[in-house]
Parts: sequence; structure tokens; C-alpha cells
Amino acid sequence: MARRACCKTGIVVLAGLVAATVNGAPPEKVALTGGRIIPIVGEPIEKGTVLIERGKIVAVGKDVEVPYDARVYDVSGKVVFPGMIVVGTARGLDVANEARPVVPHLNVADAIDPSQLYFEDCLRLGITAVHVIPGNNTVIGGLGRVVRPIGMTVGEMTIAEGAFLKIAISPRLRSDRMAQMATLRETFLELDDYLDKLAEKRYEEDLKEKDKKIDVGPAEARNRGRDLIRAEDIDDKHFNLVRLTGGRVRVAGEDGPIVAKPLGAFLYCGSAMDVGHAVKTASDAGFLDRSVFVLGGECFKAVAELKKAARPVVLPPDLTHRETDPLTGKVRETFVPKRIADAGLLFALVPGPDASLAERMPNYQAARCVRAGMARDVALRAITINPAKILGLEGRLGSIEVGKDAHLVIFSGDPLDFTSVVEQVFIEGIPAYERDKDFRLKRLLSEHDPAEK
Amino acid sequence: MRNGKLTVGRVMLPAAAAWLSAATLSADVVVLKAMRVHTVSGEVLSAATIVVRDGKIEAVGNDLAVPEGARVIEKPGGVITPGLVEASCALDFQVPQSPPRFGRGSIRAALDEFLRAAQEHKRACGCDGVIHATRYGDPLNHLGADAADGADGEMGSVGPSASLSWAEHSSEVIPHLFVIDSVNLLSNDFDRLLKEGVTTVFVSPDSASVIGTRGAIVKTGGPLGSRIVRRAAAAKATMGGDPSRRGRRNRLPPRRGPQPTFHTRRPTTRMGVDFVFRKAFYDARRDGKGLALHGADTPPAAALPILRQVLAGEVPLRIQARKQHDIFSALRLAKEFELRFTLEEGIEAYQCLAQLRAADVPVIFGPIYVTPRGYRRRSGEADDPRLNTAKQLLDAGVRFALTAHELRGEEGLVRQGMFAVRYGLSEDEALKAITASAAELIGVADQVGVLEPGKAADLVIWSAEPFDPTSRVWLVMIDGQVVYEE
Amino acid sequence: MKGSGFRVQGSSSASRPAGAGIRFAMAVSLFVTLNPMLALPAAAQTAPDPPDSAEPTGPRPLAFRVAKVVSMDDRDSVVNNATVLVKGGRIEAVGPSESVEVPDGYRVVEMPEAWLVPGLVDAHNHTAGGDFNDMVYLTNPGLNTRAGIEPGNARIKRAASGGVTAVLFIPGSGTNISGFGSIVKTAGANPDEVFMRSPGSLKIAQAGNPEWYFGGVRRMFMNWNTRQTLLKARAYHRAWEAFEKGETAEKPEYDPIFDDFRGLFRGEYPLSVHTQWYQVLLTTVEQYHLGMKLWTVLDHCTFNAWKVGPIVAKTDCWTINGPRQYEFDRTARRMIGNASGWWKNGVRRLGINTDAVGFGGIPQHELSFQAAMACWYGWLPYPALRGVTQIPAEALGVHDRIGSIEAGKDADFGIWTGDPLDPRSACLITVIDGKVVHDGTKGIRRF
Repeated sequence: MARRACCKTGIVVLAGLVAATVNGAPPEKVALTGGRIIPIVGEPIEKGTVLIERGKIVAVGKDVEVPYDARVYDVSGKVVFPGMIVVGTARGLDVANEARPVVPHLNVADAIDPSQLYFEDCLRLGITAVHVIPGNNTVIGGLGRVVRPIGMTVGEMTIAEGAFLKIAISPRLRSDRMAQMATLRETFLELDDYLDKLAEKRYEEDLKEKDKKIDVGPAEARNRGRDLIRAEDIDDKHFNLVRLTGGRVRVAGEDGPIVAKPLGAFLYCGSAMDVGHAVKTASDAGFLDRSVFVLGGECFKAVAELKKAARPVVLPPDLTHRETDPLTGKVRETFVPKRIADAGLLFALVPGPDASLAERMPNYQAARCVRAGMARDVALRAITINPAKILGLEGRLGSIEVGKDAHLVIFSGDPLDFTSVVEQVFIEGIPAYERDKDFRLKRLLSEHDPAEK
Repeated sequence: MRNGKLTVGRVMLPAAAAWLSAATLSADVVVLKAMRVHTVSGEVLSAATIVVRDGKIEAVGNDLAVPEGARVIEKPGGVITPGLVEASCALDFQVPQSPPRFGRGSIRAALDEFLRAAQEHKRACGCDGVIHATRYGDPLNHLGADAADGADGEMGSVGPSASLSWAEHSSEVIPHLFVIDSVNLLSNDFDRLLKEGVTTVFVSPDSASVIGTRGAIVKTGGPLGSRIVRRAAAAKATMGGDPSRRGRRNRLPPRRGPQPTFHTRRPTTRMGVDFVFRKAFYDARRDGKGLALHGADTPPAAALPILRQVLAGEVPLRIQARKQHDIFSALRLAKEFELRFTLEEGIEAYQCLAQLRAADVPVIFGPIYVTPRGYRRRSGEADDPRLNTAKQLLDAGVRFALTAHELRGEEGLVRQGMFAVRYGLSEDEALKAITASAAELIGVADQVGVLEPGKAADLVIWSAEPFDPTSRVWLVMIDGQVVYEE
Repeated sequence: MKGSGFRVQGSSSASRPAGAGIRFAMAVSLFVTLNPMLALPAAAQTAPDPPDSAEPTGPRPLAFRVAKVVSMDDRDSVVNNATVLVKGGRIEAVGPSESVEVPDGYRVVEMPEAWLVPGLVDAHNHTAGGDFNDMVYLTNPGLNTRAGIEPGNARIKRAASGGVTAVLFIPGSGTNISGFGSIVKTAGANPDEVFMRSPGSLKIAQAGNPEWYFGGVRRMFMNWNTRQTLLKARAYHRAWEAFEKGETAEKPEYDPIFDDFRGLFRGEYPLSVHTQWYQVLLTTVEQYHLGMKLWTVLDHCTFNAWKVGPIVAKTDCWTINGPRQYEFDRTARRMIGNASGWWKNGVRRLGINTDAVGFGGIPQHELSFQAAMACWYGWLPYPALRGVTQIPAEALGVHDRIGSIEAGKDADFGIWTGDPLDPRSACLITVIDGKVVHDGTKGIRRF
């Protein structure tokens, strides 16, 4: 758990919506009492208490002593659930992708729009963390970022800075697979070339500082310049590619210094045939063990390859894959999560298409998994702790455990029951959403008022 | 013939007949047992039994005797409901409905175009590829409006399994035509509906004509010969913008006329819709008195007797209207001609509850949504829904049924019931709205919609309560025959 | 939020270490400023009033205390420091505050610097519903905008914010007879509530847009053709009249196309004629008003039509001019104000319209600006204000209900920050049928 940097006084001041005005300082201690806690890790706790201090969960259980100065929320009869996590989406950006195909140096932080209604909708659905990452219409699309759906600036929203680049194996619009794979290969070849030349240049610069002239051929210059490469020497575009391949400079086939933390990749595979290419590309370039496979509906057919790669997968928004037999016209349906779960892969569910009233709720997607015969806790993990693990944030998010960030959703009933609604959402202990105050939702549930059209 | 032989024959035959009929009878008796039975007409029974004979329900209750030779279907943990009734089914919406470009009207061309658009969209959107099949219940809007329906987004009558001519535009007044003539009973859409628990549908005609064709009531499964329950059901009229927006694409005379513009095609406004509707009924009356018809928009001769039957109440009428003022127009016109009608869709019915109640107009309401999609979004009439309209209708004393219309899958009819429960109805009320009430509003309440002796044995066995999101369909029975089993 | 002293760590590029600080004080402000729907209520608020619907007998009675009431009654009364009482959807009393007592139970609205004027009336509107033109035929006697009235649509909602309370909602001018118009109020819960009268008028477009029709038709054909339809309609009316008076025994057959015309020939509602240019307007006056003795409202009346003024001044025609408020008179090589042209030529039954449409053009809430422009180009302020209130009300025959602030009339009026003809003035409160339908006094003035 990274310690958050605090302001000068060392005390993090949290704003709360508790007071009717915004004048009072928000409470440092918050307690949610009497609810049924579904921690995801461990058994549910009936009539339990979650104690939060300065945004972190400090106690969970039946007999938790609540400090006198805590702000207590009585959630008796309700269910306390971890804030759900969207493991990857291009929502929140102005457009899903830049027009240029290879842009590893770009960062979603430059385009996330805190004012978008998407973030408000996340709160309404009980989603407390979103991994915003470029869309699928790209080759290498840029760096993602995990954000909270509250905050006035991207800085305030950020939970964790980008740890994954988006790479599409399926061809982008108006392109084809040969061109797509060629572009990917060329990108890494060009990286090698760049680093080679950079090593030469560094050696030359180093000599110049010592008032010496270049005294060896290019091959030897590279050898000598390899270890002289520093992080600031690498331009933006190549820097993220170096991070992608492990953060270590590699010149003329040999390892150089580590200049940065590694990056992973979300690899979009729209069709089953893309999985093989994705595995090869990632392993050749050295980032397979930091890869996450974003699957299209058909990719369950490549489950054997996915199993071998043993990497986490992200399921498509539409959980049912349908194929029409071209000869008979009959339609065959496959429920994708079941096939993926049966293969033992670590997987995350994402919300369905926004226009579908039920599917856009991650807990409904989980319910569909239970409908198909998957175990309840497997389904619930797929919207909580699994996304956290995939994003490398399982120490902070995804379950209700001591020490984790206090991302909590108060449901009126069991999350898999469709009559349950999100009543409150706490993000690091801040009450970020209250259904009673949700004017937009109220309007959809209101009677006709001609003045308010 | 000699007496002996005849005597033998006479003795043998009745015995043989008795043996045969006994065998037939026992094969036609099915007994179903489940954890719970929702009869909809009365109580919810626990650990109940249903006895089906000859395609009809013979008995429903606890501790019923199992007739000898009956086939027993026992589903422990199962919940039985009547087969769902879809009161306003838009059939085959999921097939590519690219309109024929003038001069390129082939099915092949339309399909190619659709597939190409689907591929493009898949890449741009990052969604699942739809090359294999479209997303049910999301008629191509998931592909993006422009990809789905061609340039101006209207539905034509082309597609690989296009069973419904959506754009019947030979005239604005066509109640003498029957939608059943273009229904493909083998369509995949019926399979889909069946597997989602829907056993009876009213196939709702297109909304492109002011007074459209007659609908049809069809079962979703079973032997072909008994699929059609009613060939000519209610006639459907449409208020609002659909007849104007959609009618623009058709030539007059058909296939030969010049490209239609608003100079050549009426109506293009609600004023025009109102006029065509009124003129049609006035002309029908005139014709009934033997007077000559004159003026613009005279209905086809064959339509006139049907219109008179509508005026006399012999042919039921339903009117599609989404916006408040279009519902008001429907009420005003019905009052002018003393017509009884059923409102279809009624997205803004919550804005005229008192008026609907006062006129005793039932509403086939749906679908429930937040964001409109596809043709509904393009109509511009569906942007102000309420999630709790069904509850508001109930509280106002307006009779209603729920419909999913063209939606399937996670937004299909049982899910509409699920949404209605989330937003205010009780489970019993919601189940009634997709069974008995729907049957009542389409006029087949004597046959389906409840589990009562004498009704057709149309029922569904669910793995849990139907509105539980984890519940799925285990078995569907139509007229006593198992038509689907998981 | 302000002065809280919170700093936000800048969004970092990949090379900065993770762990940006959280500054959540601003999280609240996100909702307040960026997403008003989830916002807390604005800080300063008066105690909320009980909802009107709680009253068993309809909306709660109101009393308005204002600086000035321009009543537009027959005596052109102006009451300073006035009180206006509203009850049961009607104006109950108007008078100086000293002499008008406010009964108990009335909600008093104090606007001591404001002007209260009758709700503005626009006799030429296309935004009270969505439809415009059905153009298959050059004359469309059967069509009526009644079917298209859509209260609360985005464009008509704004009309109330400009103090416009009633409009004649007519079809477009794409054809010579485009149908019947309907008079509606600009706010209400459903079409029945806003409805005043239909037919409000018969819309005729004398020339201009219909000329594009079917390859081109011109004035000779159009005038002849329009006359044919009117003559047929009149023949239908006369046949029925004869039967009703007992002059004939045979009952004519009801014809939905022509039956609505009967009111026109009985003088129950007017023609509203889109007409401009000299010859065209002259034709309107001579053919329909003088020739067929029809109650006639002339719409637009622009370009050089004002030169027909002396003839029109001698008739009972109503001249509702606009939206163009000026013309460049090529004969005299000068700019001329349209309304002032009419006025100076003796026309006193003179008003102003916007021809509000959903696409481009002048939005309905800017009717007062049109009147201001008319004055800028030479008309007089008081007649200009009357030209958007009492004159169009009387032109349409609804002045028994609206157009002036008099006891017994509908409580339709606007309360402005000053003279409505001053473009800096805003309409703060609009009342229709005794209910406040627009209130710009609280929070952000939005419409």
C-alpha cells in the first residue's frame, strides 16, 4: 500500500458531503454499522461494522469498537459490498483512440474529462474505480490510468498511474491483420534500432565531455554506450516502449541498465485467431508476463492458448456469443464467462453496453454468470478482487479487508438481486453518492411535472 | 360377406378401437410437478401439480392424483408460470434490414453492406464482432445507427431471413392486408422467443402507415398447423412521426415512381396523419351510404368495409403513440369516431394517466429503458421515458400489459417484468402484466395467460422465480407438448 | 471551497513516482459546479413555498406588487406602484397598492422595481409543435395544427422566458393553403390545458414559398387556385346554412375537408395570410377581405407592402408585421422601418410577429426585441408594446380572455425588470392561467 503524499501539514483533509454546506471539515473516522458485509475475501458478516480512518479500512467485523468521534452510518438491513472496478474502458475520454496508430507515449491523463456524465453513472452503479485506457481502434494506443469517479482534476481522480499500454492485435479500422502485425513488429525493431543509435550517441557525448574524439567503430561504440543510457536520454515515444519490454535498455542484443519501471499491456484480441498472435508478440518483445488479454466474444475458442499463456483475461461486454450457421441458419449461443471460468483463467467481467438497462450493471453481469451455473463467489470476484488483481491493485482495492482503501457500496439488498439498488457509495470514506440526492435518477422515477420537462 | 366373418369383424373392431384410443389418451396426459406454480388467476401454489390432457390444462393443485399412463415431468426446485404472452411483438428485428438502394435492391447487396458495416463497427467500437450474428434485442444500434440501416436509417424489407415486410407502403390505409401473410413461422426469432419463455405473440404490424395492416396472434412453437391462433387480429394505426418519417422512402407508383419527396408523399406531418385517419373513417361512412368519395387521400376500396367494421367495434383497433400529444390525438380521434382502442408503446403515458383512465383505454406499455436505441431513438419521440411508468399506470387504475416489442435477451419480455419489479410493481403484478393481462388485451384470455383448467397448456418451468436474474428457462410447453427443454 | 488553500498535485507523466495526494475538498465542488443534478442546493435559499398542488381548489392565489402595470385596456391605463391579484387562473383585481387589499392566504410576490405587462401574443408561430408543412397539394384544406401541438417542447418552453404567453400555431407557408392554425398558451401540462381555440385561423400563403411548387407556379395560378378552394368551401357552408335555416330540405353530407371552413364564413375566426410585397398584399386585401368579406389578419406585410397602408387603413384588416423590421426602399434609396411605414400611412391596427421556427430564424422568446427594433426604425414605443399584446389578441379574436390586464381576464402576464421594449430588460416571472410557469428570480436564470 503506497502511502499517499500528504499536504504540508501531513494531515490529509477529506471533504465530506455530510454537512449541508461545504464549510465543515469532513470527519476522519467513519463507521458503517449493522449491515451485512460481503467482504469477497472470507465469509459474509451479518450485522457487521466497517471502520474507516483517513480513507482506509481499519477494522471489519461483528464486534468492532466504534470510536466516539466517528461519523456513524447505520446501514442495518443493507448490504455492504466492495466498490466495483471496471478493469478497462475508453469511456471518460473525448474519443476512444487517436488517429495515429502507434502512440505509446500518449497518456489518457491528457484526455480524461472529469465532468463527463460517465463518471456520475459509475457512482450510480456502485463502481468506484475505473481503469481508463485507450480503445481498440489502434495498434499501440497509449497509457491508461486507474481513476476514481470523483474529483475535479485528473490528479484528484487518480488512484494509480498507468501501468498498462493498450495494444490491439485485431486490425484497426480500414486495416488488416498483415498490416497490423507488420506495424507491431516494425515498432519493436525500430525500438532496437533507436536504442542502438542512442548508445552510439551516448558514447560520443561521453567522449565529448572528456574532450575526446570518437575512436571506435559503431559496433564497439554501442557496446560502450550501452550502460551510459539514462532515462532522460530516451524520447517519450521510445521510453514507454522500453518500459513495456521490461524497463531495461537492450542494445545490440545485450542487456543494459534498468531505466524505469516496467509497463504491462492490455492486448485486444477480437477474434480467436488473434490470441496466438498476441501471445507471440508479447513473448517475443518480453512483456508476456505483464500482459492482460482483452477478449472478443469468439475468443473462448482459443481457451487452450490462453491457458498456456496463463495470463488474466478481460471478458467482452456482451457475455453471450452468437453464431449463425451459414448453411442451416440456426443460431448457436455460447455463454463466454462459463467457458473461460471452466478453463481456470483469472478473469474480470466488465459492464455491458450502456444502452442495456440491466447489463450495464456489473452485479447483473455477475448474476448472469450465476444463472449459467457458475458459483456465486466466482462471479462476485470477477467484478471486485479479480479486476484489482489484474491491475496490480489488490493491496488497495477489490475487497473489504483491513488496510485497503475504503471503497464501499451500500446496496439495499443482495447485489445479485435485481430489486437491490445502490443507496450509497463511499470512496475512501467520503460519501460520494447518495441515491436520495440523485436528481437525475429521481427524475426518471418521477411523475409528470410539466414545468420540469 | 358371410355372417361369421362379419361377426368376428364387428366384435374385433370396437375392441381394437378401444385399445387404440386408450393408448392415444394416455400418451396425451402429462403431469408436471414443481416447487411452485404461479397460476396468475389465483394463488401461488407450493409443491403443486399440473395435469395436462389433450393439450389443455385439466387440473392444477396440490396432491393431485397422477392418471395412469401419464408422462410425469418433475423439476424439483422449479417454478412454473403460464407461457409468457408478448402483446406487441416486432418480429425479426435482428435481421439486417438495410433498405434497398434504388437500383440495388437485392438481398445480397443489402447483406454484403451490412456485413461490411458490421466489420467496420467492430473495430471502431471495440465490441464483440457481429459477423456471425447480430446482437439480439439491440437491432443493429449497437453497430451504430449509420452502419445498421443504411443511409437514412429506415427499415426496408430485405434480409436473409426477412419474414416481415416492414415497409408496406402501398397506401396509408391498409387494414385489408394481413401481417400473417409475411410472417415466417420458421424464423429464428420464434426460437429465440420460445427459449425466453414467450409462448404466444401478437405480431404487431409496421408503423409506417397511418392505418396499417391487421396483426396476427401466433404461438412461438409447436406443430406448424396449430401455430396460428388468429389470422386477423387487431388493426394497428399510428400517431406521431413514424408514418411521416418512414413513408418518405417509398415511391408512387411503387417501384416506378420518381424519387419521393415531400411533394409526393402524404403525410409528412402530424397534421397529415390526423387528416388521413379522419378522412379514412369519414369516407368509410360515406361509402356505406352509397355516396361517392372525393378529395385527397381516398382510401383503397378494399379498406372501406374493414374500416366500417372498426367503427362498429367488430374489428379491434390498436393505436401506437409515444408522445403525450400523440396520445392525446389518439384519444381525441377515438372520441370523434366513438372508437375503442388499445394504446401501444405509450412511452409518455405517464403524462396522461387521468385521460387514459377516464377513457378506459388499456395500454400495452414498453419497453422499459433509460436510453432509447435504434429506430425508437431515431423517431425522436422516445427521449423522455420514466422507469416507473408501469407502476404509475397501475396506481392510476389504467389496465396495462408489458411488452418488449423488438427487444430480446437481457431486455426481453421476462426481463421487462424484472425491470418493472425493480421500479415499483410487485412480482405478482409484473407476472400478470406479461401473461394474463397481455392475453386479455390481445383478446385471447379465454385460451392462454393463466394456469386454469380448460386453458391451453402453455407453460414455462423456470429454475427459480422468473424475475430472479439467476433464473433460466428449463422447459417450455405449448398446447401440452414440450417444445423446449434445456 | 474558495480560500481552502488546497493545492492539487499536477497530473504526472509516467516518470514521476506514483502516489499523488488526494485533495478531496474539491471532490464536492465537482458536483456542485460540473454536475448540477447531484449538487447540493444553492447556499442562499428562501423558505420553500408549499406546492401549489397541495391546495384543494387549484393553484394558490397570488398577489403581485410591482412598480408599474401597463394594462393595455381600452383607456390605456398605466398604474404605478400597483398590486395585481390573481385567483382561480384569472386576474381578480388591478389597481394602486393603496387601494387594493391583499386578502389572507394569497402568496405575495414583491417586485417593487418591476413592470407588469400583459403576456405577449404572437400571431405567427411555428414552434408550439414540431410539424411544419405537408406539401403534397397546393391547397390543403383538411389539415389542422391541432394534431401537432406539443406543449413543453424545447422551443416553446423558452417562449415563456421571453414573456410570450399565447401564440397562433400555424402550418408553414410552403403551400397556398397549408391548413388551420390553433391558438395555444405557451405552457401547460398537456395539449388540452394549453388549448385556446382551433381553428385559430386559416393559414394562407399568398405568394413566395409556394412558388417553388411542382416546377413553379406564379401569382396568376396561385390566386386562382386558392380562390377555387375558398369558393368550394363557401359553397359547402352556404349549402349547410340553407339547410339549417330551413330553406332546403335535403341535408348536405358532412365533409371533413370543408366543414372547418364554416367558422371562417361565419366570422368566428380569421384568415391569417402570409403576404408581402405590394401587389401580393393588395391582392389579399382586395380578394379576401373586401371581396369575400373575410376577417383578415395580414402576416409579415414586409418589403414594400407598407405602401398599401392608405388602403388598408380604411379597412378592418389587422396588420401583424415582421419579422423583418426594415426594408431598403430601392425607389427612394433609403432604409425604411416597416412598422413605421405602416403607421405613418395611417394603419392603427398594427402588430408585430416573429414567425418563430425551430430552425434558425427568430426564436419565440425574442418577440420583445422585434418590437424594440420596430421602434429603433421609427415606430413609437407604446403602440409597439400594444402591437405585441392587445392588438394580436384582438386580431385573433381572443381579447375577451387575453391581451390586457383587466379583472376577469386570464391571468397571463410577464413581470419584467423594466420596459419590455428596452432590450436590456428581462422577463423575470411569467404567469399563465394564474400559475407561475417561468421564474428567473432564483439561482441561475435558465430557460
